[in-house]
Parts: sequence; structure tokens; C-alpha cells
Amino acid sequence: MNPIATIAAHELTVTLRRRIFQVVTVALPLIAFVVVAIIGAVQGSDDDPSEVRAGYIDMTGLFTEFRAQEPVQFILFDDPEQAIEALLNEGVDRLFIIPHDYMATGVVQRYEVSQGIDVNGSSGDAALKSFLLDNLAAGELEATTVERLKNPLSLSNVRLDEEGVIRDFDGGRLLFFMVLGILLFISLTFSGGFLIQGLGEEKENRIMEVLLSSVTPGQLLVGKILGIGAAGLSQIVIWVVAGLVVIQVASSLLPDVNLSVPNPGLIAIGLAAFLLGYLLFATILAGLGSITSSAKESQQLSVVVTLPSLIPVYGMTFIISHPDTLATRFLTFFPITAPIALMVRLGPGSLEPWEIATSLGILALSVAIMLLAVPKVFRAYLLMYGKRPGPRELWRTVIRS
Amino acid sequence: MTAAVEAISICKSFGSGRSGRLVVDDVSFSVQPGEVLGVVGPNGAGKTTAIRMVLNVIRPDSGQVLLFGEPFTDLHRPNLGYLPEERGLYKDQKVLPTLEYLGALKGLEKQDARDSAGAMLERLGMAQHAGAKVAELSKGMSQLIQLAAAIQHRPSLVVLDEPFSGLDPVNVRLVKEVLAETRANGAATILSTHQMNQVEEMCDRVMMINFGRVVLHGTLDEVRGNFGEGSMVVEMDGNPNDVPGLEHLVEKVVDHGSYHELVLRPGTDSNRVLRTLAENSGQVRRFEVASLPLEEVFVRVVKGDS
Repeated sequence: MNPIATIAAHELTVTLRRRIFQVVTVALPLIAFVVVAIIGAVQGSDDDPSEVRAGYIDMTGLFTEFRAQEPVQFILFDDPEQAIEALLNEGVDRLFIIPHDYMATGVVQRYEVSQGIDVNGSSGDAALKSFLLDNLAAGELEATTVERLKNPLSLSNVRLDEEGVIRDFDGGRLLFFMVLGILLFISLTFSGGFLIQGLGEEKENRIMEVLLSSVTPGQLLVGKILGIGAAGLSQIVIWVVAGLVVIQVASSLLPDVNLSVPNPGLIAIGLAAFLLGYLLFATILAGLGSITSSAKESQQLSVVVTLPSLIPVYGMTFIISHPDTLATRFLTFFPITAPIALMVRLGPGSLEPWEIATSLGILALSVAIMLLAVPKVFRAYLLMYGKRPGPRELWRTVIRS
Repeated sequence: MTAAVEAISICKSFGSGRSGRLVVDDVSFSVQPGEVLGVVGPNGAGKTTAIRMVLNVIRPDSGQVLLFGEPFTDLHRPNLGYLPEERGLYKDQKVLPTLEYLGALKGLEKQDARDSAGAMLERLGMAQHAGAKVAELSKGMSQLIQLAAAIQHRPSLVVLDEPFSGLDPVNVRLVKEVLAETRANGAATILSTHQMNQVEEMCDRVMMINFGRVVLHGTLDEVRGNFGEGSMVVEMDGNPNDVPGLEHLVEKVVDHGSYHELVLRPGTDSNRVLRTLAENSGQVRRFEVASLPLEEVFVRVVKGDS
């Protein structure tokens, strides 16, 4: 077997057996399922109409019809004492009093027995408004007008670019790429962490010398990156499949929320950014791992790369609302920030094709440069312990060898 | 016959400018198939760096290393076996899979790697530990596993850096037997060690490095011969240390049980020692003039250099 394939298979096996890898891979989809299930359960309880019975006393004499308002059944009481007794005996869940001067003030008093949080509060209020409107408009307005009065606004956003062409905006797509960006970061952090931890361990336990007498530094680097990358990719595939299931479940539980899957072209761009991002980060982190003496030191140093990569997440609002600024373009093209910036901008669809091509091109070029440079650093520093070389010394190593 | 290794004027320095240090300075040597070259020298002399250059783990700044008559290529890697001085294995992994992985990196097919790893474990008396994690093994056992990793793929060149350190006498003997078999199969061996008795016992030639330079190189007899007849073997009644006047002539007395070895002070005439012994002690049953022990050669060269 080719040495790169041997190393990759070994790294893949070792990574898949890591407890932390298994826990994170399983835990994220589980958390997503639990969150969706909780939201669904809360919404489900909102929709349960059989539970809510509201008593009312009408001092105006105007509100006698339309008492069935999903999910609330309004029950008229003439005697205030009977009404209070019904509330206390749980004959009704709440009691409304519509006073004489309602038409002048719009005030309605609500009585409830204190039992903590009322989960039906918002739907109950909507039902009361509907009940009042139906009675007030009866005989005065057409049914469609009354319906529109109840829901006067359903805002639909349309965005135009500078030429006046409609730019489509899709909340589901925004969410998809935002989640993909976060997954990219989580996966990069873990995969990169495993890579430098493995290198650090091999330096610490001194098996590195045996490895370097068997394979070239370049083969070792590529084998490790591919093996751990394969583990990271399998993690992402599990997450994406689980994500699609979550979207299906969520769509049925939350019909009002627009959760659509973006078109395959956009997903392909997202995956390309993901893969190139991983290759770039992994190569840089491997280089950092080779110049430090221990896994701990490597992980401390890796923050130099992982923290700046998150800048597009911190500046997400700015990037989305100012797609044509120099800062946004810089973050899109700068290799360290490009992968996550691309994800952030793919969501709202604010990327021009040339921007995508330039960003991916710079990323690919950076990966190629790092794949040429890092093996030289590997060879020079993998067997060195003690003083860490400075940037100038590293530069000389890359140029000379 | 083509040498398994031929190092020609190799140099290596680390760092640059004022902090730069020449670690290996114009070192040349060769090892023939089936030959064992002992590499000795004090700590920090440049032995390990020279060895790493032979294995192409690091590259010389100048000079050249030829393996089997040609410059190093990746095709040579499967023919190399290496036991580094600072040893370690994947602690959380099991013995057999570790050997299989290291064997596969040397180009063995999966089944071959498994078979040869199993056979080596059997030969080294470690077969019952094949399923154990490396962390569960003693230091000596772990060292045997690493020796297995170095030779399981039947390399043509074996480089061993301190192979006996930390081993008990039984395992020292076992390792010697295994290395003798490797040598009998035609492998060239470079043995770096501080244990001069092992060099005297196992090596055909010896090379001493100090401050990065070769200070002695040749067969054992040649190297010891450079220092003249520097010692004597004596069988006598009593202890030579008790003989009056001998302390001015002899630097050190080594007790070998049935006989004593007297290391003479530089310039001492052996006849004068014999006369002193005859005049001041009981019966001298045996008196032989011998070369200086390698350890003494080592000490004198290092002291002289420093």
C-alpha cells in the first residue's frame, strides 16, 4: 500500500476511536433533535384548543356572538359572583370583564388564578382580540375585511441590487449556511486539534524518528491531513444527514418556519470552501505542530490561526448588511477568514460569481503554497526540541531547502 | 563489494550566525554488508546527527551519503531499519497493530506485515504481549518491541542507537543473538553505544567521534594498537593494588575474578612492571602484555581532545 494511504488509514482509525470525536459527532445531532422536539412540544401545547375556557362579563351588551374562537371558548356570565366562583373552581381558566366604557377606553380586565407562567397567554390574547373584532364588526363589515383587520400585515422582503435586479433572500438558506459555517469551525477546531495533538504526541514519545526513516515528511503530512480530514468529513456527512432529517422533522413540526435546502450548486460551493478551508488550516496547524515541543504548546499556538478565522462570525451583521465594502471583500479573499466569510455571504446570496471564483482560487493557491512549504519546515524542525524558531528563521528554512 | 553505506565528508550545522554550531564536521566512513560498525563518542559528539544523515532523516549541509552505491532515494527506505536512542511508541495502541503499521510503512503488504510482526514477537519472547497496550509494558519489553519494529522487515542496513540500554542480562543476550542472525543474513549494522564491552564483542570496526569529527577509525586491533601495549593481564597471588611501588606505574587495576588487568600509565615500560611485581609480591603465574581496553582508549581520546 502507498505510504500516504497507510498513514491516512492509520490516522482515520485512530481518530474514529477517539472518545471525544465519537461524543461530539453524536452529541450535536442529538442536541438539534432535542431542541426541535422541545420547540415542537411547546408549539403543540399552544395549539391544543380543548384546554382553554374563558368566562366574560359584558357590561356593554355588544359582545354576545362569535364565542367560539380557536383555541378559546368564551362563556358569558351575567352574575359577577358566579363568574368569580367559576374561575376559582376551575370552571373557566380565566375571566374577562368588558366594562361600560370599553368603547371609549378599549380596556378589558383579565382575571386569573395565579399559577405561574401561562403558556396559552399569547394565543388566548389573539382569540380575545378576534372575539372582540368579530362582534364589533358584525353587520358593519364584510367577513374578508374583518379577516384582514385581524391580520393586516404579512411582510415580504424583496431586495434589489444596484442595477435594480431582484436579489432573492431566503431565510432557510441563510440558516443553512450559517449552520454549515459553524460546523466548519467546529470540525476545523477538532480535526486541527487532533492533528497537532497527534504530531505533538509523536514528537513527545519520539516515534517521529522512526516514521521519518520510513516515509518522507511530505508523505507524513499529506497522510495525516487526509486521514484526519476523512474522519472530519465523515463527521460532517453524519451532521448533514442528521441536519436534513432535523429539517424534515422541523418542517412538519413548525410549518410557519421556512426551512428549505439550498440548491446543489450553492452546496457545492459551500463544500469546496469547506474542503479548501480544512486543507489550509490543517497544513498550517501541522506546520505549527512541527515547530513546537509538545502537544500542549501546539494547541496554545493554534489559537493564532483559529481565532482570526472566526472574525467573519463576529462581524456577521456587518458582512451581511455591507456586502460591497472593502472590509467584507478583504475577509472574503483573505485565506484565513475566507472559508467562514464565504459561508456567511452564501446565506443571504450577496456573493458575485467573480468573488466566489477569486476567493476559492486564492484559497486553493494558499493550500498549494502551504503544501510545498510545510514539509520543509517539517523536515527541519520535527526532530528539534527546545527553542522554537522565529518567523525569520522559518522563512529562511523554506527558502533555502 | 558495494558498501551498504558510504558517507563522504558529511557536514551538518544547526542554527546560523553566532548561535550556529557545527555538529558533524567532515565525517567519512563506510559499512559493508554483513559488517558491524561501532560508533562511539561522548554525549553530544554528533553520533546521532551522523546516523540521522545516513538514514536521510536530515540532510547534510555538504558531503554525500551513498546507500548501496547510489545517492538516497525513497526506494531505499524499505531497506533501512532504525532503532533510535530516544525511544517511544504509541502508548495507547496495542503491540501487534503498532508493529503492523510500522511494517506497512516499510512497504510490507498487510498480511506480510502481520506475519513478520508475529514472527518477531515470537523470536523475542513477546508473543503473549501481542494484544497488550504499549503503556502496559515494562521499559525493557517496550525496547524489545522497538527492536522488532526496526528489523521485522529484514532490512539490508540496520542502525541501532544504544540497543542495550535498560535491558536485563537475559535480554541483552537475546538481542545479541538476534543481531547476530541479522548480520548472518547479510545486513550491514551501525551500532552506536557507550558500552565498550559490547563494541569489543560485536563490532568488526569502530569509529570514534568527538566534537563532530572522526578521531579514531579502524578495526578494534588497529584502534587499540594506536595506543601501544597499554595494559597487562596478570594472574598472581594477592591483589596487585597491595604491591608497593606499583601505583607509580599503573593507572588502574581491573579485577576480572581469576585475573587482573593492569592499565599502565602512559610511557610505562612493561618490564619494569613485571620486575616490581616479581620483587614485591608472591608468585606470578601469568603475565601477558595486551592492548589498551577500548574503554581506556575512549577515555584517553576524549580527555586529550578536551
